[in-house]
Amino acid sequence: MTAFLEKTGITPFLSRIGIFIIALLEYIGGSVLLLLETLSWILRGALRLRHTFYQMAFLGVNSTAIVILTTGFAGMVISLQLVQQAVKYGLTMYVGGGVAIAMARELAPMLTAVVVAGRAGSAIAAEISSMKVSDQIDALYAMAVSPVKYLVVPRFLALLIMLPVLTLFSNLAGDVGGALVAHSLGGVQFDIFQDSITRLMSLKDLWAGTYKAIIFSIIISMICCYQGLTAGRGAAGVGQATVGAVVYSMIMIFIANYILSSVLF
Amino acid sequence: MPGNIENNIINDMDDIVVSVRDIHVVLGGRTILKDINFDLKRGETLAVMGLSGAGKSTLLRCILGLLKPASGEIYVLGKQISKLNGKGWDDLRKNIGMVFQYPALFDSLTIMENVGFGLIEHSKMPIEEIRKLVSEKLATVDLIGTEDMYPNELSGGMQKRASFARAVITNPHIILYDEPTTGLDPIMLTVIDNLIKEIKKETSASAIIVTHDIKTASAVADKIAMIYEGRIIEIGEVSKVMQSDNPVVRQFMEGSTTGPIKV
Ligand SMILES: Nc1ncnc2c1ncn2[C@@H]1O[C@H](COP(=O)(O)OP(=O)(O)OP(=O)(O)O)[C@@H](O)[C@H]1O
Ligand SMILES: [Mg+2]
Repeated sequence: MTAFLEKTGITPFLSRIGIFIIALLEYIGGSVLLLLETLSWILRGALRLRHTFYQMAFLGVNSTAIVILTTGFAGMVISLQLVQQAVKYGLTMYVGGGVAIAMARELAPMLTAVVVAGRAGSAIAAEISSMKVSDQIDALYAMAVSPVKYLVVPRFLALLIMLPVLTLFSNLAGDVGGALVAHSLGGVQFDIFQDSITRLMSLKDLWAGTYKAIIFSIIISMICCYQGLTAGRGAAGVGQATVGAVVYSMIMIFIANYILSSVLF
Repeated sequence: MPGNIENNIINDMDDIVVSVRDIHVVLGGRTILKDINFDLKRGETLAVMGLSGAGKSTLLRCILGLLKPASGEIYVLGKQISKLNGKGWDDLRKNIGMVFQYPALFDSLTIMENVGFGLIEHSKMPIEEIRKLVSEKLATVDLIGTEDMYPNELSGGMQKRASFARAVITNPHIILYDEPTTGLDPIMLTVIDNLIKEIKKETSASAIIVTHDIKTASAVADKIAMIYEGRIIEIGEVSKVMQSDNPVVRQFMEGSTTGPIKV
């Protein structure tokens, strides 16, 4: 049997898939273990508020402009698509709600998470991995300070708080962008747009987006910290960790988003 | 020797602070260290010498638990380190100081926060007192006035000295120095040698010091261990090792390019 498999050349292929799956499981397992350790430090009260506030500013506040810019344009383009059809069929009173629901349920949480993964996630991975390759992580261990408590917990908390807040800003930016486009291209009055939002969108939509943001923040902080802490040696290690952190976070965000949408709505 | 072990504790532990027994270390599929055996007595300083890439830093990493040997056991301050949990490690490591080969200062912290790190994290000492202590320690390594600078504002040798101050400020029982004087000018080198001797006299800390410098080794160490091709080929009193008739040791001490070590 094995001889047959070898002759077909399928064994090396299967073993390569096997190696890939093992690596993937190891990766997911590592991130989950990291999450558990992070939570256990938080439960033991290792909060480091000063570090957390610093990270909230560094990771969150500094991402605000780029988040607003991207989601503002996202709201505008949705509005652009909707308003042309709406004007044709006389349904302009649905444009506001359409834009707001699309933003709240899907676009605001997803885009914000993707932008933050690129902006803040890469910063986390680059910083921690360069600490790793210059022995600073080992120095923390050597001085009896857990890198998880010292480095991961503040970043985890900072994103956990800031990503939902940024997502709310994104909703606002998208809706304002949408209103501007609806007004200038479709002649939709601002009060009609606003009225349409309050009529069609429920608070549940905003909450759903917030739940998503919380999950995404955990994905970003865990994957990016894990990448940093397990970086290989030298400058190449930093590069690989940073690229990997962004790529894997984005993939996981898209997958998680699909699962969350099918559960939440 | 295994007769000494009982309940993971070495009976004559009073006397031996580090006991390395038969360790093998494999990294990236290559055997880096094999059959490493030695004891470090209380108050003793052991110099570890050997070619670049011989595995000297690797040995220190194993003692500190940053690397796991493939086999063998290490006892530190009476604890079998393979049996330690997170808390056990923390308690043990608070008693060990380490000067890393590449200084490994934390780049987001000032020199004062770096040097005082152990005290800030683990003691209840008020910050003003820590600051004073840090300034005193910095003065001993000729770094007065660098308290509020960041590591990247210091030269390599200055960073090395700051990292030295960070390792010894908590008065650890065991100090591991990984090439503490490499990259320093001859005067600073003597200053650090003298500091190591002073610390040894005042605190009776035990130490392992990795060095390429024969002068440093003979100035501060009681014993020398010579690592070659992954094994300890010679270990003993400084004067004995210096006069060893092992051709490898001879060639290393003389820095000659001819002999059993191929260059
Ligand atoms: N993480 C690692 N993965 C694979 N190989 C490693 C790793 N760390 C060290 N090595 C290898 O182990 C050997 C010993 O390295 P080590 O740093 O202990 O040498 P050293 O004696 O301290 O040398 P030097 O005097 O140059 O500092 C080297 O050949 C190195 O390539
Ligand atoms: Mg070394």
